[in-house]
Amino acid sequence: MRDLVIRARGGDRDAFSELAARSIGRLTAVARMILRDEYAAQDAVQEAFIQAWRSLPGLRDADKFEAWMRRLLVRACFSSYRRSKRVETLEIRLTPVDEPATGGHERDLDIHDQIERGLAKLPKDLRAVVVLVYYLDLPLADAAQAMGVPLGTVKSRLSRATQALRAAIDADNRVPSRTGEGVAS
Amino acid sequence: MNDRFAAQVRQHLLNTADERPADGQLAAVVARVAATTQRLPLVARLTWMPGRIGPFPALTVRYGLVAAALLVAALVAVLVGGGTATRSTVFEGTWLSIDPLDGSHQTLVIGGGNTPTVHFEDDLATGGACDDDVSKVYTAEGTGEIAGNLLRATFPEGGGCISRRVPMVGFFYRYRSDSDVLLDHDGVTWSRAGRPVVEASADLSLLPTGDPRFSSTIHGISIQYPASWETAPASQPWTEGLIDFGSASADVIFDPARGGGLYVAFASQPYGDLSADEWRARGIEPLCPGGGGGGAYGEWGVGGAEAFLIRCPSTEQAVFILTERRGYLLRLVVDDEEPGLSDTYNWDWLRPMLETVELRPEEAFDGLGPALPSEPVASGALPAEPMASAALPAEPFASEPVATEPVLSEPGKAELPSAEPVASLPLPTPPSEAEALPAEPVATEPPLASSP
Repeated sequence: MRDLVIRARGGDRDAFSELAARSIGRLTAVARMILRDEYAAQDAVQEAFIQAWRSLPGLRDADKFEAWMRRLLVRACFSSYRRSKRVETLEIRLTPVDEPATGGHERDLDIHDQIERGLAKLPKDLRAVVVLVYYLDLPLADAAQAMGVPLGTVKSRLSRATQALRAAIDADNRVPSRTGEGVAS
Repeated sequence: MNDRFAAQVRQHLLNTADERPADGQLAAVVARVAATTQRLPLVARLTWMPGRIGPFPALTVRYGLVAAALLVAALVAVLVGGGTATRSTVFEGTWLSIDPLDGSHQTLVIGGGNTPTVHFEDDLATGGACDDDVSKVYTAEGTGEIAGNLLRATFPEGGGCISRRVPMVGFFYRYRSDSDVLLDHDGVTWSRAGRPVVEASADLSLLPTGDPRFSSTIHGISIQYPASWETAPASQPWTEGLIDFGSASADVIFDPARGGGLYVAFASQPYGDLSADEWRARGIEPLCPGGGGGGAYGEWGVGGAEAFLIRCPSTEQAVFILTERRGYLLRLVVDDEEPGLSDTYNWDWLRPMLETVELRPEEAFDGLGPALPSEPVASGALPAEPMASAALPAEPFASEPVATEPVLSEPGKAELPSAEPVASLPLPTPPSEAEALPAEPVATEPPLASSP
């Protein structure tokens, strides 16, 4: 990886393509989780890679390429969000209650459905910190660096995300029934 | 987050992660890289380059930044000190906020008088406007126009960092006398310099808040709503069309478990050339197409104003509220395919909610200057002919469906206007008194520059 970064930094497009091939899957997964929109996620990943390619000569420490890419990706996700934030408020996915129950795993499935719905409702900045900390398993300091915000901000966002997730799940538990699946428009 | 809950969240993310790139995604990246040149190493290594990791490269740069920061602090201190003593309007002075999206610090310096100078600054722009620039300090110079407690700001040359300027439209700031803060077009709170800056706001509607109240920044209305419901604020004035769940011009309060199946939408507009009764009569038509008023019909008072209740198949309950110069429409829409839902969410449910309504027609917002194109343009190259975002109908409340701008829901896709007949509504009144703002509609899509 380090050799590839050094070669790409020197302008080797093949080396950069190899770097992209190695990391595009994971970065796309992160963008999908943050943006929850396939097209926007692909755009954000592409934007992050182009930004990385252009600015790669400025990366002094080749070992920090991955952290640097994550930061560029998060920035690209937020940029994408700014362009579509009005639309986002309308994307409300409902999950059917009449899905067949699955025996002993029912409760586990319930909690995962609830987490999924809770994540969908989180604002992007809160969801991003959840993804960075719990999916990428980044320490808070690294998450702060990836988001370009102070450590304290990441801590408060994680705390707020937790509160919001719990509140969403609690609210979910209070809803007696649901009526089908669909995306409100 | 306790360990168990954290583990559940982690496991959920790992289980649901989709790490497969889309078909052609890598090829597209490679193709764009092939067509893109890298920055020069010297330029790319500058300290404030996006995402650069490492210490400052030179001592002189550090001292330079410290000196610049001290100079700015001194200027701010002078402005704040002077503004407090000789403030000519409530807006005058320096205001600070935190961008809820990226945590950057934003500054607004407003001069004196009713058409003050306005300086906007964001210390770390993360939007696309400054992607090509070394410095990420986004600035814009403009002027304000004050009407009542509303200041609308126009930035004729847009804003940006170094290499390019992008248009800035839809910027307004509403003064809240109860808390001495400004609330802007994005719902961000601005505090006076020298006072604690309000924590970056985000959508906290999921958090239990007891007895929440929604205050519209567009329509001049405030209402309490169920704690478990959520809100989707309007982003533009209501100039045409029937308000519904997807209307950008409607404030919507909805049940998150049902989304568009159970919601209250509301909006307001000036009567234009119509009388209040004419405005109401023409508003009923698109609500109850072909069926007249239908159902219950009555009148009483809401928020101290005369109000009329309408009920017909498209709408569980609709209420027209008539103030002196402005009409409000509030719709309760209930999914009639869910059995029993309308038995719960009916007039008996809505009426207590209506009793919490506070009307502030003088705070309603009917539009800013002409919309500018949302694509970034070069500095000083804004078009002489501003684009109107939508043509307003010549006939208020025309009964024929009117084509409206489709709302983009995702790249390349658009939601078509509702199949329901769409009313075209009266032209806003000419500027007068508290509603003394130009009547043109604002841009539907906020430009990139609106949140640097």
